[in-house]
Amino acid sequence: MDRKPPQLHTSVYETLNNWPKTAGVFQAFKTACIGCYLARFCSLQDVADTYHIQPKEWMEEMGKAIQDSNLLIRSER
Amino acid sequence: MNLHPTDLRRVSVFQNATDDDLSLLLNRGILRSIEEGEFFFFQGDPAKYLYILVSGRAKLMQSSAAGQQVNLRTINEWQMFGALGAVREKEVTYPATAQALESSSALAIESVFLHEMMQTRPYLSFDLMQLMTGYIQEMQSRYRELATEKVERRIARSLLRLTAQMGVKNAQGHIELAFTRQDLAEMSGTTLYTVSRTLSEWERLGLVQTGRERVVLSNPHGIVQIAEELDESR
Repeated sequence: MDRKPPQLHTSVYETLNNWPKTAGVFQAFKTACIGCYLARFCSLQDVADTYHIQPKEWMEEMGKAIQDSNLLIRSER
Repeated sequence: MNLHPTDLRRVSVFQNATDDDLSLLLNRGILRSIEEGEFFFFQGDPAKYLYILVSGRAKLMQSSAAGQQVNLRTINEWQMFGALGAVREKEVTYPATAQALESSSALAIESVFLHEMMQTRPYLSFDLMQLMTGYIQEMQSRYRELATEKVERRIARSLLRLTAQMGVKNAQGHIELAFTRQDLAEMSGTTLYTVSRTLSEWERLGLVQTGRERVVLSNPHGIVQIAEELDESR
């Protein structure tokens, strides 16, 4: 069963843990979130605010990365 | 305090233990409660027991021959400490002193008992190895920082490390943590004066708000920028 996708209030830690493919999105937007000590405390909204990212674009890219990884998992089954 | 054997599964080293093993460990444990400032053991004492912090908070510190102290780490609930005696074959002494930072209780289990259990339970050895390699990695990072990094960056990294270990989000959504400036100075390998001066400067820049034995990170990302020397002007 697929998990409910991350929301703006989801923490960076949860996002990276549940959907490792989103790491590419964090990198593409040039954030320093991967491996950051504060990943447990920051939400995706906090990241968008800090790096001046449009929340809509941010979440769309997250969604695409998750969808791609789901497709990959299904094709491997 | 009533402890249930399954409570011990919160200890990383016992996460894969069977219920029977947890009961065995709990039955052999002695609960020790001490007040703030008192000690579970001293550096140089024979390491006859390992401890699991059940409530409160403690710190591990090491003293040099000249009496200078260094804070090694903060121990939070359900963390194991003082386990060296369970691993080493020969008579061994604690390499550090464990002092309670607040009223604390810990379950003391004979080192030799865990040592015997490890002979027939590979999960114990693996999980203890996980704990030890985590400590080694942390110490390697701290050594590298001491040898190569500027003091402001070291303080920022220590502050972030403390935040990851014991920070909480307050009602305003800010990250708050309790520690003394002396703790931060010892963790960063610098003086109390330098820590105070640096925190005052960060307060002026709006990065933190400081109070008695506590700090609120008002701009956590600003501290990350200092710790990681991020250049985000690109």
